[in-house]
Amino acid sequence: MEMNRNQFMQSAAVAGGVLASMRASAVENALLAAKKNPGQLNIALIGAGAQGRILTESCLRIPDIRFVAVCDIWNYSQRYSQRYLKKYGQEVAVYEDYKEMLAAEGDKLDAVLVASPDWVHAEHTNACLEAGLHVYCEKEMSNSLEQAASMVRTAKRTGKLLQIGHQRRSNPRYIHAIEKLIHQEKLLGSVTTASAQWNRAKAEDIGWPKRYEIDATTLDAYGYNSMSEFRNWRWFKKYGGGPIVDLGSHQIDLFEWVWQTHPVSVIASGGSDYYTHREWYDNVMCIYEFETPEGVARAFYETQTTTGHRSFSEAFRGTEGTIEIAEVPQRGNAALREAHAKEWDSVAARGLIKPVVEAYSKNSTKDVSVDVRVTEAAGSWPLPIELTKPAHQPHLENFFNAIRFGTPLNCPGEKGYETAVAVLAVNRAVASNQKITFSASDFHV
Amino acid sequence: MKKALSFLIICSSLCAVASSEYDGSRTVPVHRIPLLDEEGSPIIPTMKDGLPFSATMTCGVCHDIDTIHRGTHFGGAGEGRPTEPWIAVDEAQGVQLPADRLSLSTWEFTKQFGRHHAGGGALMPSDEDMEDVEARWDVSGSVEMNCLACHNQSHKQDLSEWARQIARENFRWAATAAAGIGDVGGMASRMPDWWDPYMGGSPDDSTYRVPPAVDYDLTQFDAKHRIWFDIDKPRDQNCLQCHSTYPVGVERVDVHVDVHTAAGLSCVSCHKNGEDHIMKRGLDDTMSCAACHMEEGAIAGEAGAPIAYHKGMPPIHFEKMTCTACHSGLSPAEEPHRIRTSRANRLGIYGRAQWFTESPHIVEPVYVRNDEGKIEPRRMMWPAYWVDADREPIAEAVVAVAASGVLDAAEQLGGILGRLSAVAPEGSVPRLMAGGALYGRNVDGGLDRLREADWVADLVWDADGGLTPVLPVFDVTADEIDYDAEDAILAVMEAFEPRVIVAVRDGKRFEKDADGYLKATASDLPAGWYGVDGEPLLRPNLMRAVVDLVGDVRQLNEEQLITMLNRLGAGSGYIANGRLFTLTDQGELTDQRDPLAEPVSWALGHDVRSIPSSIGAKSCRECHADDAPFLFGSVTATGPLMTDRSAVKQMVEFQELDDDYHRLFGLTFEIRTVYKKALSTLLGILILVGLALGLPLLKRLLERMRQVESPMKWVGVIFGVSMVVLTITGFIFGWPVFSALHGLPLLIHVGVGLLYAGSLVAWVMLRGVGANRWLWLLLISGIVLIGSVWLAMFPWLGTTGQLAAIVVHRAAAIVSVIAAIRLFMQSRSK
Repeated sequence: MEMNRNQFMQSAAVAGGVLASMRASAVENALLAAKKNPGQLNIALIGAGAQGRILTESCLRIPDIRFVAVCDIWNYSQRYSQRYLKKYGQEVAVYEDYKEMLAAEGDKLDAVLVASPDWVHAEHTNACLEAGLHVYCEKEMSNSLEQAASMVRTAKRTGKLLQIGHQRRSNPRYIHAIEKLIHQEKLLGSVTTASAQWNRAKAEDIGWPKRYEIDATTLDAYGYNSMSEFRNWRWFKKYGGGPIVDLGSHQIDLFEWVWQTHPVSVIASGGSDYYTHREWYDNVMCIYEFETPEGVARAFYETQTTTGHRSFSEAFRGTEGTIEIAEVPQRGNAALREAHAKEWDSVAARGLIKPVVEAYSKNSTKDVSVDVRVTEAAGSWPLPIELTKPAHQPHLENFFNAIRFGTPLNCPGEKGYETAVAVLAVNRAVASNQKITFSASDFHV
Repeated sequence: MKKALSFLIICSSLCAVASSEYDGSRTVPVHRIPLLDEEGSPIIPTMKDGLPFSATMTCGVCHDIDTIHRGTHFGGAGEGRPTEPWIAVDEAQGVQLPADRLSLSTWEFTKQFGRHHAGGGALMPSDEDMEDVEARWDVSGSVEMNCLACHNQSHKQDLSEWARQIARENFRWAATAAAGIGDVGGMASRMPDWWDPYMGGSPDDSTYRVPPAVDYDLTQFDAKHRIWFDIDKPRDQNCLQCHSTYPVGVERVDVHVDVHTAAGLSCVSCHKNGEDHIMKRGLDDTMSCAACHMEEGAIAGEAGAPIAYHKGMPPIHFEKMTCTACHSGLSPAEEPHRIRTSRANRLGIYGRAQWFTESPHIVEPVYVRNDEGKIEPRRMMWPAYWVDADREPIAEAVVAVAASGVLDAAEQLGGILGRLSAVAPEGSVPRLMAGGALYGRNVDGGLDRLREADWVADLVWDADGGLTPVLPVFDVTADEIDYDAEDAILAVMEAFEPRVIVAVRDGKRFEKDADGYLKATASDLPAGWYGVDGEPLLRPNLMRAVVDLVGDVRQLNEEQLITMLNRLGAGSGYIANGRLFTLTDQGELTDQRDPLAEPVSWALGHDVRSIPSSIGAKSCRECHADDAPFLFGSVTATGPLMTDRSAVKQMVEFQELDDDYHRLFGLTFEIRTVYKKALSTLLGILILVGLALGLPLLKRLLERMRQVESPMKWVGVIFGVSMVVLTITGFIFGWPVFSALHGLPLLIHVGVGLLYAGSLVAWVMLRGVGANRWLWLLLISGIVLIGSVWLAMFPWLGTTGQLAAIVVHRAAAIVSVIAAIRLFMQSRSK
């Protein structure tokens, strides 16, 4: 069904806005992008797997973003993305080799999204930066600190933008919670501890359609030992950093954001205890120490891959209260006041948190000597900010706004590198069974 | 997708054509076969997250899928005589409309009607459909032609499961789930647009965003991963999944079956097809009512079909009416009967929720003149939908906004009962009282009419049938405060928070004070619950709508219609019940004829009734009377609207017949018995007069012939010789010497018999006048002799009759021989 912008706007208006779905918005954006207005940015995608598709979906909702090319070594992913984008009116060229893509399309491009496996992030990113293109690179920057550092250096040298995909940095809910409530309002008092976790239920290896299996020669040419390793690269040391890196880096990054400093040490325990055929640790627990102006603070983090209990969320715990938050609001979206803390009504009155309706209960009679009406313990105060976009969209918008308007990046390469230093150290701590200490210079390229 | 799939199908078809040639055996091959997925890869049932089986790929190994896909249920759908249309229904908005007026995309069509579709055909996305941004074919897969829907004889074949999978957008999994060869969990409808079956599930969400996946029933597979499908010609059960009809209100035990079914035939006995799957629809010379039941039919008597002689039926009936007019569908009545059909009313889908809908409102039979000029019975439905000033349909979303708070009266009041449930006294449930009836909240959040009841209060607590008002007596100034009553009132108020409501009773308005207790002020409002602005909690218009509509099959009343038209804006209208409803400038409801409101009808073929219950079998007056429903029954337009303004037509209008003439013609049947008797009497008199005048003339002719002499000698010789030959062949080569005459003597006997008959006739003509008693005996026995043979030559006598005729023949022969001998002796003596 074709629908031009006018038709869409008319129907949306007639429907009183009820039809203004995000998908319709994507259609509108795609149609606008197709007109090649001056503000349009031409982009390419390297790595059209699951994460690449998530970024693609978000980009389709951002005005004036036009996909020109898609690169993936797997023709199944190439075809899928090509068809998916065509549905939104974006005809793209597909490539197996990123070098060919840059050679053929580089002149047309403004930026590249890199969503390939961690171990080739640096290769892809550096090549794109060298080609004069801005890069949005998925976290983790690399499974090698040296390679991650090379990305920062290349970005500096070329003067091109490098945004790392810690998308919570651009999430208005997190910005409100950390920058407004914790930093500015000091709602939690002194934040003494933090905890976070990302736990997943046990899962089988990821499969693939046999008819689309990549032949051994091609896999070898691109450095993969087998199709199984290609599909499950996150579990192998050559290609990635394991769950603590894949999952933990998002949340460990938040610790640094909250305390505005780097950790000074980390201790960790973990192992490959359940999935014996996989290389990386399937469970990790770690504790970071931070030296803050208000004293030592500690953060506990765990990632489990054999239980989904508590799923993923973060808690920043201070002397006056706690903020529980998660990228999915249903799993954490509130501030909890300590009983001794001063009232938060004034904060709520300013709209910074939502007021709590106190639970009301009453005994069957008021004819008693004392007032037996009781008030339940202070409830949680919901955070007022909602994100009505896919989680990655604000971070991508920040990247594109940085290209267009010079808006500061929310997670430039340097920041991503700092997180990589902290996160990759966990694997070393587990392996060595020793406390890893950091110096300030460790976090700078 | 369609292109790729077509390629695969064509390839498999090319391989299949040679192997699918019918070898002549009447057995059905045992289908112990490996399953293939949509990629053509073998199914390994033990593999996790494998694809579902593909009927087209699996069956296409041996069958010409490409040809089959052009069949009646798939690519060939819609060809030939129009059949029941797909009807889009939205009961919440009072909409029932043939889908072809909606320009549905393939995706929308599949979502709405895939539940009762065998897949393929209209459900297969084209390349253009694949670019429909609203569609999610990559996530859902396509609804391939599902061979098992019709051919699987297993009792596990489950339309309900199929419908559930379609509703969940699990299109590519639906055939597997419906066949019962595996459990399919998860919902494609909850997966993001970029998901595909090879990505597995979300590692972080195992409750909501669960991808569709099949868990094959390993007990059904053998060691070679083959499965045994119980495949055969479709059983009635398969067909009736999508082709049932039900006369509303009739108990299941009283639902008549088609006479063919009762006779042991199945649907496919007549509606058969070859490999091309182009179904016989009973409309061609080789398979139709006439082909089986008329003497000259191409397959007359097939499967024991009785031949219809229609004795006494003027042939004009066959020129002006179809066979089905008299023999099919429900019998005509003063008003057509409301029916449900599988496809329109979603029959045959079972689960925790009720799937069937009262809409669309379809009636049967309405007798309509078809394009060939014949009158045929039809099913009929009147469109109902909302239109703008240009008479274009108003978008569903716009109507939904307008309908909120208007057409959802039962849900709104049900919601109030839901809130009260939270504070109900132990052992009690909240009820609504209105219009002398008691209403309770149902599982869908609406209301059910429970029973009639004397009014206690609009809102009551129901404790095992004992009804007490939700708003109790309370006096805030009493010496002893009734704290129980106060608590009860406060609890109700809290149940509606954050909305603030107050209670009014006995001239006092109660509201919660700052301390959480009740305070009272004077009020002249009737007792009940109100918002702070004085608006009743139970809005009167909603109460009226509930009284009108809960328990009724219709969806809105005129009061709701007026509100809707006001909300939808100037010039808007509602097509329903055969009328176009609009508002006048004064805001009054008015209605008029409009082409858009004309009914949609389609020919029906079943159920075929038995001969005695066919129209006209008992009397011509079943149709030819001035009050016969067939011609003069009323057809009142039905639909979602409760109104007295529905269009009403008489049957003759649909038949394009002259009302006055046919009433007059019907009157003639009042005197037709007398007419027949009179005509019979006059005819009898005429015959008698004719005989009286004619017989003497004949006698005179015979007397003249008696004067002729010369031929008599030869007649006598021929007669005598033939008698001798017949006697010899009959009594020596037949009874009593042999049991039965046969062989050459029989041929001689039969041949000479003609000579005998001719010479006898000549003899009696020449010498009959004044015959003696032996000649009379010869004449009479000859008549019996020849008559017994003549009778046996026609298909009138059964075996017993034939045997009796032989006995009579022999007896007459003996008498004839005796008489002939006597006459011969008399002639010799002369």
